[in-house]
Amino acid sequence: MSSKKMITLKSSDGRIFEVEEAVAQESQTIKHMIEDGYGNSVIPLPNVTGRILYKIIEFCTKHVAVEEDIKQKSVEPTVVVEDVKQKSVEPTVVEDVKQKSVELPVDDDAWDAEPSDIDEWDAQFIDVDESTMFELIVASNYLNIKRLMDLSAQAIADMMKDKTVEEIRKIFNIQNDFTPEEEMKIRNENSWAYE
Amino acid sequence: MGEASVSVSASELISQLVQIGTSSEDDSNQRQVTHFAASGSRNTSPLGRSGSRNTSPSRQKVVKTKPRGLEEETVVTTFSKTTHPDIQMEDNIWAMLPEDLLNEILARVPPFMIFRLRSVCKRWNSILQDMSFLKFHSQVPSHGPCLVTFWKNGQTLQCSVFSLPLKQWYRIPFTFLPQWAFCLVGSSGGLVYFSGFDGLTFRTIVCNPLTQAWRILPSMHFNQQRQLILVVDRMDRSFKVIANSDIYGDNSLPIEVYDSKIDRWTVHQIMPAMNLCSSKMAFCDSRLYLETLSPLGLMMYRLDSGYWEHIPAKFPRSLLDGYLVAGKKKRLFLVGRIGIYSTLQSMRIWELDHTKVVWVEICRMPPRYFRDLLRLSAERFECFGQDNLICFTSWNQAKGLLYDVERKVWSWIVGCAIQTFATQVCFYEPRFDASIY
Repeated sequence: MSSKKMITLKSSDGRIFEVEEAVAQESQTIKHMIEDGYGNSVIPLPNVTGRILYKIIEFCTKHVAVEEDIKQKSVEPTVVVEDVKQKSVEPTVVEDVKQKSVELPVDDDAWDAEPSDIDEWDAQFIDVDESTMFELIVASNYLNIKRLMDLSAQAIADMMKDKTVEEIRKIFNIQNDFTPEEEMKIRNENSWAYE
Repeated sequence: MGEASVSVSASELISQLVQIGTSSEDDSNQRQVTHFAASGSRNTSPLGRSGSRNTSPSRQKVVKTKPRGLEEETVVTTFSKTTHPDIQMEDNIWAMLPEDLLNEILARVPPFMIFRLRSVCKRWNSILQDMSFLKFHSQVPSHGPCLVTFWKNGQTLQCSVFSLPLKQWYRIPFTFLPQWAFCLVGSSGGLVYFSGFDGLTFRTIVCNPLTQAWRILPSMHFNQQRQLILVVDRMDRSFKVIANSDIYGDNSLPIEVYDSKIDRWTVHQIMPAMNLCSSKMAFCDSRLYLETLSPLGLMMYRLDSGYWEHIPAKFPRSLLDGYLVAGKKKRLFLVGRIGIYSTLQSMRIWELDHTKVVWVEICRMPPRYFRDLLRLSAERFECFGQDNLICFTSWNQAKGLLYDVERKVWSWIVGCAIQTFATQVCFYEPRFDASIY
């Protein structure tokens, strides 16, 4: 039994979902709606099907839970330097960990992130068929959930990695509007990239 | 009526928080809900897999294998993103992707792939050359470290880039390099720099391999071959090059610093205790660290205040080589072998504790890797690092070993044969937005 405020969401196919406010606010779109005073009625999401909304709620719920977990542990520094035998030595990384909470315009800390179960969880979450992935990225854009957008966009970019130019055209249904000479010219400019 | 039970394992995760209720307007919803649990996509469990593909997003995945003795095959590749060449992407779905989402996806494509995608069509060509897109692309968290290798023999020059995550070589042309550039000094923030003697003048070249932009920096005040370090400040959109005498040079020469904002070298303080020569240097957090020889010690120079300081941290006894490697933020590492007698030798990594002013041992190379890397105890190796990654390359064997300080993982570099004998190597982070000005 949760005493937290619940938000009611309705998918395009009429399915109703009740979620905790904190979870719903992972979506900036829904967050603005709540701020505008619509939090007490059913919030319709005509661009998102029930199936996808279900997945999205799952994602947001998991991440909110992980965040709360981190907050509780926030005083404890992530000790990266191992005390081998010199247990009395205090690692200086403590300061750096605290600095991580400062927002930088460029996300240099992305590679600082410790590999955690959440990465594994994310990897399995996004391991879906293409139509689901398509719907997820469109919905995450509409609902403005940055984390999910990052995850799905990266997953799609990864699928593209090994494709040839022809395959890309086919996938995205693009007509090659270059003349053969133009195309040759572009390829030659960066021939090393085609090997 | 009432709540439909959702019979999937997801219920453990979200049952307390998500209640699938019924809408009062439409009774058929309830049936829909029950059906959702039972049918629909075969797999509604978040932990299951739907579809036959295994597409992993690019998170750093660490796959650990148990040691199998010296003949270990691909042990761990810290940066592997599982690539499956036979992934089919269905047409029709992706054709409907809105343009802004396409940009989001393209921004996450590895930099080398961007060049290939320019020939898809005119629209993509213009998107992928657009400055604001390239800037956006550079802001996506690093696509993974790469290595630049440089080999020069008389007229022949070979400069290639190896991408660790993609496990692939790219022969990016470095045709702009003048003949006199013979030393790959290093790389920082997407810029790669070389040095050499143009006639009698010692000069430095800075370039961005992706954009092929390059520039020869103005000459220093004191014309001599120097140790150089490039430091890029991305926030400030500028860079500095720090020059100091190496062990062959004249120690009485002061440090010179090039600042791209004023496009000039400035003479800084001479190191006190000039009789000591420095063999290695590293730069982190606006401090230059110099390792001095005879006796082995550490000097620190603060660039902003122009102030030298001796760091009295005692170096480990019987240290055979002392490579200084700058890590992220303030971290400084010392890498080298301990032990004169071959059977007792071990490769170790220390980190400087700035407060207590001691070198703290943080890691030892596992003996089997040590044996694999350096078959003979007298074998030469190179050690360099960037961003909390330390790389070891053996001179005679084309092997590279990587240590990730954060994850505490050792891994062989797969797919890349680096012959460091006469080849120079360094880490490189490909970025479109790295500016040579």
